[in-house]
Amino acid sequence: MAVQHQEVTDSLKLQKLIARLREAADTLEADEPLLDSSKVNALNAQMEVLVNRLNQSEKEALTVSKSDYLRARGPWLEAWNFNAAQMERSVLFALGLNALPKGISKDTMSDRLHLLSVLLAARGLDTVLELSKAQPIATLGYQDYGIAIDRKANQALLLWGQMPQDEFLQKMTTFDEQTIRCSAKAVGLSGAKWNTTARRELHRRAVRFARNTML
Amino acid sequence: MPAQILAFLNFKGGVAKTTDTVNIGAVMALHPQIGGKRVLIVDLDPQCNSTLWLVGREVYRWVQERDQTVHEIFRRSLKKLKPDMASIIHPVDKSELSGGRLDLLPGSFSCLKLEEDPKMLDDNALGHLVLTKALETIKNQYDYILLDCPPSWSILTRNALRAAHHVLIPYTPDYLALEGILWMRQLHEEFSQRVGIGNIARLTGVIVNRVRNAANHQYVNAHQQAITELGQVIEQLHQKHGYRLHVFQPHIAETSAVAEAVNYQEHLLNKDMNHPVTRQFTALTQDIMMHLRILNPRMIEAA
Ligand SMILES: Nc1ncnc2c1ncn2[C@@H]1O[C@H](COP(=O)(O)OP(=O)(O)OP(=O)(O)O)[C@@H](O)[C@H]1O
Ligand SMILES: [Mg+2]
Repeated sequence: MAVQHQEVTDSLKLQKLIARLREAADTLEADEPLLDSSKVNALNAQMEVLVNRLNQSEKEALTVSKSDYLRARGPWLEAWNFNAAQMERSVLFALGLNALPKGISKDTMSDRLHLLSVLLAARGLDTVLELSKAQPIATLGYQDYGIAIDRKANQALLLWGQMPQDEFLQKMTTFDEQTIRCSAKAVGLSGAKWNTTARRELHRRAVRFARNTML
Repeated sequence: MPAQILAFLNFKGGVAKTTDTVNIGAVMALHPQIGGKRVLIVDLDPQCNSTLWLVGREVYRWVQERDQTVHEIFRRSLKKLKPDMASIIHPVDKSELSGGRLDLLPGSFSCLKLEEDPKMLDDNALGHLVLTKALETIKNQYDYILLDCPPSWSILTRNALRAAHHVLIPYTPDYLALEGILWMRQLHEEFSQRVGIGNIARLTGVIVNRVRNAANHQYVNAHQQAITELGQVIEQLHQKHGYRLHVFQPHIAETSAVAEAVNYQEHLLNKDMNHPVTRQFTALTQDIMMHLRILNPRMIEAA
């Protein structure tokens, strides 16, 4: 399902505009008795035009399914929270744009969700999930708990946390390097060169992890 | 649609129950974009922190003297009288822009004594339905009713669990608070066995507070470990006990702006609308409202 880049830009602008108009209309409606009816009519006409344009240019965006949206929303927001600049680049790339349209900010939740619906319409659920996953944190699994849980790392930590220190230090050379790295990261150790101090620290943290989390 | 009733509850003290109740309530009601809701905060904690925060000491004393507080509801119920809710609800703030309003049902130090009344004993089912009945009469006047609970297992918390639809568990990333979540699960299960599941609020989610910036630590990020532990516990609660807790996003940062707002007796939205922590509370509130809608399809239709 390909959407022209120009259309995406337009629809972004349009939705923003519509939202603003809607707000204005609500205000007007609340104050209606105080205003002359010509203003209200003009506004209504303006909105009608906009709604028609929206319906045409945004067919795709309007057909995003709710279940796709809900499925994608968690990983999407999480990826943004983790690295907004990287997400912005990925979104621009996926839509073939050079910059986000005026009025769309990468820093507000509502705009991020708005970009989500645009991207879902333009590229579909799989791409959106892929894109959210491309963030380092999302290589951990998101399972609707609202936070990333790296099961492989947690399993390893539980196991190591129940080993005596000597055994851990001895066996560590045989552990898979990737597992060591993600487990260390999960307990907040980063950039460690695996000298003895760092290994002991990793073990200490695994012990703590095992103690604190075994129900 | 009648109000969604949310209890902010954790038996661990000082985990930001009050901070979350006050500021999430304020965003729901008053935020210019996502606000517009009619919100009532009920201060169930005899420490009265949310009352003191929202209306200041003078009003606090004034309502205490006249017992225009939560205590009045219980006092009248003991005499088998209905409370006059309109006379004890105190308007805090409203927004012309969003059309929302924030009201408070003030707390009372006298609630401490309720525990001693034999009619309020734990095994007396009527004793823990006092709040449910009182809120029944006003639930159509609000979109959200938020209950700021004391950090204890008391007649007030039992009332909160019976009255609310959802429990949101404020949490600070350390292992004592993690233990707090486990107690919550256990007491929740015991209580629901007693009064019947379905007659008690659902344990819905966790709000993470006071997250310190990793840059403060050179090479070790203590909070990362605490969050990983939280994830592991949440997953096990799901797998072993069938409790499906959701960790709301974003997590709230540790900042002096919170204490500052308390000292000014203002919620963050009034005190410092553009502060990063205010924006975090805004996004968090949005996430909570969204999640509640997913859990309650009737709300999607109404929205
Ligand atoms: N994000 C934050 N940054 C800094 N300080 C915070 C933050 N959130 C809460 N605090 C502070 O932590 C302390 C405890 O917060 P709060 O009173 O909200 O917790 P509580 O769970 O309601 O406590 P209690 O169990 O006594 O009712 C307060 O001093 C509050 O100002
Ligand atoms: Mg409190």
